[in-house]
Amino acid sequence: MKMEDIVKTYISKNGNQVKALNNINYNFKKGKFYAIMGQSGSGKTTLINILGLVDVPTRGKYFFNGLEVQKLSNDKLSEIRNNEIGFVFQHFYLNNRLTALENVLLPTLINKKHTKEEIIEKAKKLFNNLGLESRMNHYPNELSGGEQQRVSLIRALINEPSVILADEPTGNLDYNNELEILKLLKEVSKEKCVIVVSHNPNIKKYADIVLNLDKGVLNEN
Amino acid sequence: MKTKELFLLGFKSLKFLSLRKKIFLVIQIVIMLLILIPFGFYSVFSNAAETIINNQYEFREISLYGTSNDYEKYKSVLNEYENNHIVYIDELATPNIRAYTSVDSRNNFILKRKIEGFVPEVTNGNELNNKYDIICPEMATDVNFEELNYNDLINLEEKIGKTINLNFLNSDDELVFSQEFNIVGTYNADFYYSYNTCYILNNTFDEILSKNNSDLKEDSDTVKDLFILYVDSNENVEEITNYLENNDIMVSVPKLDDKIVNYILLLSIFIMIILVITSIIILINYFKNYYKEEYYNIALYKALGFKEKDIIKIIFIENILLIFVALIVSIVLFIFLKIIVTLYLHQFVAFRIAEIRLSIIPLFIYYLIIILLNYVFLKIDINEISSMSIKRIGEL
Repeated sequence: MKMEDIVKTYISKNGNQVKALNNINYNFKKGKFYAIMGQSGSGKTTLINILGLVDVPTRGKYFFNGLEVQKLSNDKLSEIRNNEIGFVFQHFYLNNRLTALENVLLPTLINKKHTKEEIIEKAKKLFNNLGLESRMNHYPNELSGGEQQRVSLIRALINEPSVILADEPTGNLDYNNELEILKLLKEVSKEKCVIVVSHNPNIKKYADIVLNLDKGVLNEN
Repeated sequence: MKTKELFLLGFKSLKFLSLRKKIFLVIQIVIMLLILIPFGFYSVFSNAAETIINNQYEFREISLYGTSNDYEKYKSVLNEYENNHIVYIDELATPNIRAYTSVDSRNNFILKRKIEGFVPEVTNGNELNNKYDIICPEMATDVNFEELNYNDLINLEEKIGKTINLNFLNSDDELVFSQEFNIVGTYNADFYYSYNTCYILNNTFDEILSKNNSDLKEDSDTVKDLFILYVDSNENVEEITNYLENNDIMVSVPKLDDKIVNYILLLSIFIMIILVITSIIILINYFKNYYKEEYYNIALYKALGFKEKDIIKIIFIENILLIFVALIVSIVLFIFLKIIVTLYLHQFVAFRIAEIRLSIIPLFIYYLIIILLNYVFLKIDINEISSMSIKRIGEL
């Protein structure tokens, strides 16, 4: 994921221009765990949105697996997001109307890579690996915070993406669950590009590369 | 995304409805019920009108009025009428004879002639054969039916094979003579609006008339029923009436006053229009703001890689399933209401033929309008959905 001179500006309510990202140049690679640290308002969420193909930069170029993102259609971006990117959110964001297994299978509804049987088999394996085999048919409100975040991680992994984007994944967890999640992300980063945005200083122990985002400018520590 | 999966997602969403969606659901049930009610009740009146027009022979009778001096002229005109639409001509007779079960009571049965096509079908027992045979309603009364509760009727079907004694009075309410009749058969009077009409043979009818001394010829200045014509069908009544009026004959044709039926129809249509307009306003408001409540789900779908058309499909199916639930509930409630009201109405003889109908077509037309609005607003708002969901992903 290569960013060249990326700038993102917003127009505030009083008509002023706000520069959320200011000339970002960076190349994120597979097999690395990146931690992006920064204060509130530093542009972390904007950066995640652009990296995740949810938003487009105002200026600059962003290449994902060699493809220039600005030249791609919305449908193509959705397809890439479904196949190549897994999101993990601070508030887990599981659909309360679906069981844990159904939540995990949600991204597979529009993915034709595998058959339904293969997908379910893979999901069950992931549930087992993360110690949630007995929780598959429970609804999110029946799961603890740590369990919900693990389900969220399984959902992010189900389509075998090359990138995991996590925005404050441990923000709502206690210490033990926090460490659990960070260990899992570290494990996952051996074969994928894992980018975690966080305030949490503990993350530095697990990250291969720590980046600092300050007033829209990205620097490597 | 497969349709089956879309519907499964939609069904799942029905399990957990927000307060706003619950209110919307209740409003839709009420609106659909209000659509069903006028159509259902209109059918009661149109059904009654149709029954009366098609079954009630009184509307195929033409009365010719005049004094005794007009008798010969009318007779001549009738003889010159060449078409075969007149089944029977009743001369110088009252169309009915009043028969009293008790001399002291003012309640009476009405006796009518047996005229082919003008006598109801016998549903139990036999047709008239012998001189003093009589056919009566299955459930009968000699009381004015407008004040009558159906439970007060007497079951004459049980009395087939038995006799009934009828008294005939003169204009001073004095007994002229009594006659015993054999009840040989009964008919279902529900469709005839008259539970006190009985039928006897023509000759017997004439005999009773002559005994009652109702010869009208002597009173030459009084305008009266000189003739009653029984016509073979409603369609031919107008033709005969025109012929008679062109020959300066005073005629009277009982007509169904269908004004009330038309008023009810117009009122129903008016209510429909108001309902549909109100409903469309509610629906537009709901569909325009639906995505604001659903933006987290929309943002999630977008983050997971769902395309805009997939997201539209999901929201579309969720909405039409929600409204389909309203459709089913409103139909069930209407059927329940129909049963209760029909049971109540059928107590009264005037509403024995009342039938409240479930009109599915107007409801499905309304449902189709909703589906169309749902789709249109989703398509219109998709850009706003898209940009809002981008913002919301950040907040997730």
